[in-house]
Amino acid sequence: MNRKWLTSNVGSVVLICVLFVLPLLWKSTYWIHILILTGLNVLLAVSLRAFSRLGQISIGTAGFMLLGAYSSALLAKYLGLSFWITLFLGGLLAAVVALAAGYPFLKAKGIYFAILSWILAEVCRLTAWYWSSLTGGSTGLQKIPPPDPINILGLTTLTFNTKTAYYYLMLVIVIVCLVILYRLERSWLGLMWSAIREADNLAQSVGINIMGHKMLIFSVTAFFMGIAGSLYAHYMSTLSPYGEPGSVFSFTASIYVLIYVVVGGETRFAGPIIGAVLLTVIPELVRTLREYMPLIFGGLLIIVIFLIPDGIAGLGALFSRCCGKAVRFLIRKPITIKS
Amino acid sequence: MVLLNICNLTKHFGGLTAVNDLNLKIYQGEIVGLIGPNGAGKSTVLNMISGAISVTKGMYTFKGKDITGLPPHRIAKKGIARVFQGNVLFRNLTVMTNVLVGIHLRNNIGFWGSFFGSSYSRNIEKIMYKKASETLMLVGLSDKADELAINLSHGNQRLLCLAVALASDPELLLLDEPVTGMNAEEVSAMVSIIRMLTDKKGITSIVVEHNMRAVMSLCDRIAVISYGTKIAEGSPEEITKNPTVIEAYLGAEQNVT
Repeated sequence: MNRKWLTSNVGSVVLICVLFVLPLLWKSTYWIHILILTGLNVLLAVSLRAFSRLGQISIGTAGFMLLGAYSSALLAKYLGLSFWITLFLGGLLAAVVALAAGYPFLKAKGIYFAILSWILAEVCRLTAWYWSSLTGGSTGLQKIPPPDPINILGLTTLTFNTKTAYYYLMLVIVIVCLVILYRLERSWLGLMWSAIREADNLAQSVGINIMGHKMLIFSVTAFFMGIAGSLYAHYMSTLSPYGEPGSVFSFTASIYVLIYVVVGGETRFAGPIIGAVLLTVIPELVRTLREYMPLIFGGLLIIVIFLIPDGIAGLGALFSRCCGKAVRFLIRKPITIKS
Repeated sequence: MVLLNICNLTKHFGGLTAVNDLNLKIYQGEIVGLIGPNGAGKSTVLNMISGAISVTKGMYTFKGKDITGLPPHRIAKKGIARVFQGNVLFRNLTVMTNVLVGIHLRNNIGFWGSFFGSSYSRNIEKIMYKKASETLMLVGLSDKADELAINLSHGNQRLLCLAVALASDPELLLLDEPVTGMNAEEVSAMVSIIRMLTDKKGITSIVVEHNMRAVMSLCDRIAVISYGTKIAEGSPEEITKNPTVIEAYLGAEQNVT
């Protein structure tokens, strides 16, 4: 590992360093807020992409996020459990629900699975809406406690009541989750998953338990979506299960995550990260167009699918290929006609 | 020794009886041809043996153990591999990766080792690479290891299908139309590879094929199926002379006067 590892990952290392220094240089609370939400979107998009490597599309992202958010918030608020436990439990509940729903749902493929995943998300959201004695229903869940301070070896105490502190917390957790997802993809499991995507009947006939793998990855990605939800709940300190576009647990939110993945590029690990960052930050720069965002995102999606199927992350390769062609065209030998 | 024993195997698709009371014994180390007119139920038999579709009635045992109704991945673990009709491959993966996916079955690399990239798991990976290159050498695709499967010619894709099946180290190979769409040269290459597998590695094969020349030169024994029922069984010479078989393929002679 060590030096070789460092040189091959220099880009990621520099990026992580920049992200750690960013709040020190750029002291805008508003932008720190946007960066926190961006981080959560990145985690959601990378999880969704990991699942879509199986060749299945899920539009139930918001449902798992909601499960993580509400369970973590309720456990912290009413049972007084520490954030560090509820964060994990929130993810776990999402994973368990995914595992239970995965067995019947994953027998469906393509658009049919997508519809089922959407229904699952809506069921979760409507449960939160109507079970008002527990969740507060449409008035929402308020006063979710922020993460407990942690004491490092009795030296310093880290508190998370400011936005900047929460930014660092989010950054560390999201990076850990991304590393886990990256290693999963690079391990043998990742190879099995691409085999299932390419030809599930052949994968089965060489001894891959495709149902088991599908359920495993569905619940692993649901776990990370739940983590993102839990982080969101303790950051915002209020939750409401609205279904209107623009609300975090709505159908539109799930579709947005899918758009981050497709626009960023599904084939590369960096794709959903790029997609989520661009499509979360750019709308903030043009806030006046806010109500047209679904329209703009839809248009963008169509353009990307038609013109750059590999997404923005694939632009580099596309660009170098085009440049190569142009260079070859310029330095080509003139055609001589022998007389 | 009986490797695969098929007893009274029956399959109904709604009102259609695709396979009707089939009895067949496959002995260790032989190549058995399964032939019959289109729609006779040959592929259905292979589908049932590999666990891809359920069995309506009857059973089959592999090495004396009843494996009827097991899911495909469990049957693969028992040592039955399959080459699909048409080129079913991991199309967008390289030739080498295709074979590596097949090879994982007999080499349990362990999740955590692979996840953290431990030296133990990297050693196993090296062994797997070596095995995969040997398998590719066997079918003669070593020089194409880094190409995408989708970019191979039809004949080479067919060979790769065989390599993927072989990678899982099977005792019984189910070959569904292994030489379809190949030219004479490729056919003879494929036939000699399958022969060599049986002679050198002792792999038993069941071959479903329409190319009669290939079937006759390859198989030790042939079973003929028509409308889901076995109508004849025997050596290639016996089969070519069997009147029932000729009738099934060419139709009966009728007196039209």
